[in-house]
Amino acid sequence: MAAFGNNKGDGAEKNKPWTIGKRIKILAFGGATVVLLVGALASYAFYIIDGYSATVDEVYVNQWGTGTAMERAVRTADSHFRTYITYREKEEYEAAIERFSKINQELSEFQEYVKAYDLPALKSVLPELESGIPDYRENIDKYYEAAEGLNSSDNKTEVATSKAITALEEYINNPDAEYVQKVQSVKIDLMTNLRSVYQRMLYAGRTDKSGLKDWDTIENGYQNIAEDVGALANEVDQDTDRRDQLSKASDLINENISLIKEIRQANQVMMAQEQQALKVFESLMLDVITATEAAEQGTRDQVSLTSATADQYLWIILIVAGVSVIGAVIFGLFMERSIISVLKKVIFKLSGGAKQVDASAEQLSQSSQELAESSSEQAASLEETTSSLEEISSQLKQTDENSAEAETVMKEAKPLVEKGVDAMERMQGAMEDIRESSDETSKIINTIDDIAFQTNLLALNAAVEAARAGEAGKGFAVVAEEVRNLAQRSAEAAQNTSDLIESSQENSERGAKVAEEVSEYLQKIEDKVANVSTLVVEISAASKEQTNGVQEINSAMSEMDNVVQGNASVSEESASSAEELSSQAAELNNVVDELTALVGNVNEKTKNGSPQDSWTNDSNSVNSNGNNYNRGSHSANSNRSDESIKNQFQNQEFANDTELIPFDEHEDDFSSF
Amino acid sequence: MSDTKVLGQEADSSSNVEVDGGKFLTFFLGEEEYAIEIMKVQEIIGLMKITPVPKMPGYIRGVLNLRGKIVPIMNLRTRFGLEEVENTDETCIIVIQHEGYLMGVLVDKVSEVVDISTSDIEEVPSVGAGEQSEYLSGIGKVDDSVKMIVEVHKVLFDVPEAVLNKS
Repeated sequence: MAAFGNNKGDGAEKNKPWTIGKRIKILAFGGATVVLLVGALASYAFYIIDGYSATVDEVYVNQWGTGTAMERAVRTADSHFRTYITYREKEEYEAAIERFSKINQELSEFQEYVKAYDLPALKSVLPELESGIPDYRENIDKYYEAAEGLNSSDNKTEVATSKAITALEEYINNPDAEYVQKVQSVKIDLMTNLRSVYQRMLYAGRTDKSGLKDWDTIENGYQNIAEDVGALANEVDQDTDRRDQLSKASDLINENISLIKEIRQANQVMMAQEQQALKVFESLMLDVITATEAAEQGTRDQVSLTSATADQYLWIILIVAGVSVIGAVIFGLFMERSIISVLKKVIFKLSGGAKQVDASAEQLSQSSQELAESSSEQAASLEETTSSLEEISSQLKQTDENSAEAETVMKEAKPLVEKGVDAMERMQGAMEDIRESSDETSKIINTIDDIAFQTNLLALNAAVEAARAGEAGKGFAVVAEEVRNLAQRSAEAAQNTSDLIESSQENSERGAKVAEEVSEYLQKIEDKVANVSTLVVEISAASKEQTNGVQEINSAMSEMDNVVQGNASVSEESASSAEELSSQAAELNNVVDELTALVGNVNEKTKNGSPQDSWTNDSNSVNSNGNNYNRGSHSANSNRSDESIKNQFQNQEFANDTELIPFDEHEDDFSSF
Repeated sequence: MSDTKVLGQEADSSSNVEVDGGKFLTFFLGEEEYAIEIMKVQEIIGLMKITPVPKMPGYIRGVLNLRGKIVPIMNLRTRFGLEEVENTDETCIIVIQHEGYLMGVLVDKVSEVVDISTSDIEEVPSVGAGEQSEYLSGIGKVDDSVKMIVEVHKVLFDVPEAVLNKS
């Protein structure tokens, strides 16, 4: 959201619009980040709780278990001990003693815990345990010893009493014996006493001694018996054998009495020891329970700590999750709005496009109609053209004949021209001869002129000589003057002749030039004749080609006819294309509807554009146009309208593209969000 | 022109004019006609081969062999300060004899032998520079034309000795 805020606020960022994919990515990344955060928090909480539970698991539960085991073991030992107290069976004692290995094992575990962990409660109770357990065992042992002593005394008493009874029976069995009755009663008393001892011994461990004869009565009983036997022995002292028998019994009974005392004392010791042992047991039990309770307390503490930590982190996670959910909802709402606004614009443009496609379809169908009309016009034109072609064909035949005639005429003209050229050449030769003879004449005239000049000089010299001669030379001077006149006249004549010859030379040269010109013209005429004949040949060939061309045009006309018919079918196809186009526009409209349904409410902008409302009517009109066309069309061709439609399409596409591309232009719409 | 004036002039100039009337050989330099006393003319010859001689004045074309005699040839146009022209068919050489020396004179065209009376010879008008008047001894009038009479000595033989020694 912060990133979006930057984007919104910064104008320079407008060139980089957010694509929908980018927005969704940001949403996903944000969600993932929040989940990661919460997960990390939860993981941390679990780590801490794991530490607590590990402590519980490793320490307190074990301690508790150890304590419970020790308690059980001690109780078992106590139970065996008590059983032993009651029944004085050695197996019970051994079972009780056997428990102490277990108890010591548990104790050593306690010691290990105290060493390994910080357990103050256990540590404080441990010394008492360490002293109490051996103490308890010692007491049990002592009790055992006392009980064993009691047993042995009891056995001795029984033996002694049995012997005394045997002695009394021997006496009774003697046929000579006196006081058999009395001895018999003593014997019964003795047996009763022995039974009392049995009973007493049997219940020696019991605290409840009711119904039992106490040791004093037993002892008194034995003493009474001993007095009775002693009295009997004194009465029966005539016969030594019998007296001995009685005294022997008396001694045995006395021994019994001392034994009973011994038993009594042992029993008392035993009782005291029992009390001691029970006391020790109770204190030990207390200690064991204390240790167990310490473990229990530790466990409880840890559990409550765990619970507190769990609560704390649960709150934190709940708060973070709640904030994230609120943030996600807000961001999601914003995203939804921005994407929907974009989609709405797209829908609006798509609707516009559908409308334009529709309009274009209509235009296309109109064009198809025009195409059909122009096709029929073309067909008419084709017929006219065909008739014109026939005329051209007949004219071409005429041209062909004329050109052939011209060709023969030109062939006749050629030798005539050649003859003219030949005559001109000969005339030029004659001219040249005239010029040459004129030159010769001119030379002769020059010679005459020279002679006249020399003559003049001679005449002048003669005049000079004549002048020198004075009077004698006067006649000579006249002659010289005449000669000089002749010379001058001949010079003038030569000059005149020369002029004439020059003019004739000029004339002849002019004639030569004219002859040359005529010759050139003749030559040109010859060339032209040749040209004309080649042209005539070419015209002839061209007219033939034209004939071929006209035939080709004929075939082209038939092809054109085909093309026109093809155009008709094309116009039909274009009509069907227009229909298809309109159906595609409808499809497009459906897509727009789907998109609109997807987006939800389309705002007023789209409605105002009303591409959907106008759509159905337009499509109908297009369809009807297409049908009309199909009925009327046979041949048409109108590239111009096609192109115009194409251009229109391109323009529309281009315009739509440019409108669609700049996503950021509407960024301001978001800013209001 | 009145007779009195002509006579007056004649009287004035008679003392100054150096030449007497008589027969003159006339020739052309361009359009102008000059005249030389016929007694001083030895002969007239056509154009011959003129051999140029080094170290001669500009107006001496060279020398030619006239039947065994070496005759220096003067270009009278150059001497008179006129522009030079090409030789033509009518170009002639007039050989002048004066005080035992011979001198050929190259002229454009020889004209005729005319009689100029003394009365028809007039003094050279001293309008131009003195040298020009020195080259003419007078101006002869024949019909309507004017013939300038060349002062033979001054023009042809008042030349360096070396030139004259050639003849």
